[in-house]
Amino acid sequence: MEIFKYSFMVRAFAAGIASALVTSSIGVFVVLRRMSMVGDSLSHASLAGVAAGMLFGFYPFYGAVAFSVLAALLVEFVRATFKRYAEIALAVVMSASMGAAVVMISLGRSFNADIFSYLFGSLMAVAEEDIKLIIILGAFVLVALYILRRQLFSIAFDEETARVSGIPVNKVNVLFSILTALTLAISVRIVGTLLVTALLVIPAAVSLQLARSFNSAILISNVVAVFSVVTGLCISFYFDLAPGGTIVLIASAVLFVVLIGKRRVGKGGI
Amino acid sequence: MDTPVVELKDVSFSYGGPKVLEKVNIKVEKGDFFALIGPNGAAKTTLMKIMLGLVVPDEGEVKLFGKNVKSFRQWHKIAYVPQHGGQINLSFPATVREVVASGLFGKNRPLKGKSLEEAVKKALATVGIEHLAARLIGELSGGQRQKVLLARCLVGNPEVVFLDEPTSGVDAESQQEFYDLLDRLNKERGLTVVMITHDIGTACGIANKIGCVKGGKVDIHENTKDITEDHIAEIMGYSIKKQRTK
Repeated sequence: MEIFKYSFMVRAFAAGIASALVTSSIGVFVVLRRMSMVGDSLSHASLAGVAAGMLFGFYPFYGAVAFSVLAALLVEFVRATFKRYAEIALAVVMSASMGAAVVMISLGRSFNADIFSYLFGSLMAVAEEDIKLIIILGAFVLVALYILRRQLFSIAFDEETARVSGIPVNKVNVLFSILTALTLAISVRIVGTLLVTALLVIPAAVSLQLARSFNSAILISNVVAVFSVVTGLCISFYFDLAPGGTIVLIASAVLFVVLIGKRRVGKGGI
Repeated sequence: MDTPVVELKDVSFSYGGPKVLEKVNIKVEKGDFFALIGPNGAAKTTLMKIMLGLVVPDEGEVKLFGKNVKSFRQWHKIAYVPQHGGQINLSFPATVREVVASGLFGKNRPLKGKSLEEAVKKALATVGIEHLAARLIGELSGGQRQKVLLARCLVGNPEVVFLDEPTSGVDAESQQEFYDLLDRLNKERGLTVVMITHDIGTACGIANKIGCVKGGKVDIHENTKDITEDHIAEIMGYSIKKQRTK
């Protein structure tokens, strides 16, 4: 196929599929824990990291990873301070991250074109170095999720009972936030910081509509995400469109088809 | 004499204002069926959460199996069903089998593979819902969901179960089945039960010890026959006809 003759497309597919598997796996837990807004806060932090990298001369992708992990820890810290208003933590971190990103972008006026590729994702921009980092961090997140799957299931199902069963809920929550931050950071290269939350949430939303068990929910979410990424990358290649937007539109279309299909067979919504 | 399963000594608690619990002393012994009754807002749920270490009291000491709850680590001896079944998310994509198995996902519960499957089957059989194993939790009726949560509670063979209004929102027939099952587990297996309930008639029928919570105090009745219609009316603010099934 013509599309695979270009090395940048092969890299885009590798990075895209790896990102899809990781985001869609952790996404099921994120959605079940009603933490979808966390994705927005952390992805804005990753944009600040990208801007910091460009401004201070280190690799922007490393900045995205470091800033989103720091933001995850900050969310947990603020959440612990405002226990009864946990959403304040997300708003504070998102606003502060966006403020930092805007200030750094305005300081480095010359990198507007580069920052655009991180905002909306890019096919051309995935470098060999990115692939290595995406695969290493992606594998780390998947292994950590596998090890923590039982604890995460219990906490997502009923946090109080999980505490009484001896699960160290606070520690697992901090670890989960860090894993979510890493997931978002490795996905910004393909999907972009503004749209990465969609890849976290939409495949999981589809899986909640169709799954007949928890394991099947993860599998369905994986399939929808990989399908959306592969189809989205092909369409964006042939029609010269931004990959992030195309991927998210495909995933959204899958969700609407499933919702309409379910309504037609009279099973209702989530 | 065995170490008490639960022991509260001079426990007081407030949510920042007046004390909702004041100098509460409770001792639940092994094999007890301890029912906590009281009007809405009497801090029954807070009291149960204090027993479990989920809420830290302002004063006093809480012990589980003789150990201070802060340093207690033998959580496999304990199981808990929160109020309204923990506000279960009905769109949670988990089968009954998966939910029951999650009762073994805590610390000190290393069951895996076949032994986990066996334990789940046994718990499902105990509460009589083997036929629901492959169903999604969100597809079940309120009564069936409560049985699933009880099966999850029992799957790790706990020594004590804490149940916070386990039959709220459940039809009368399912309620009776649920209480009969608890009564059987208490009498046949020696399972210690600590239960919050508004169903005073049943509480008096199956519990051997009742704690009446009102005005921050807990009035303990070791002999449920001591509890009169007038006493219940005074505690709850309304009169009921007791149904002694014992």
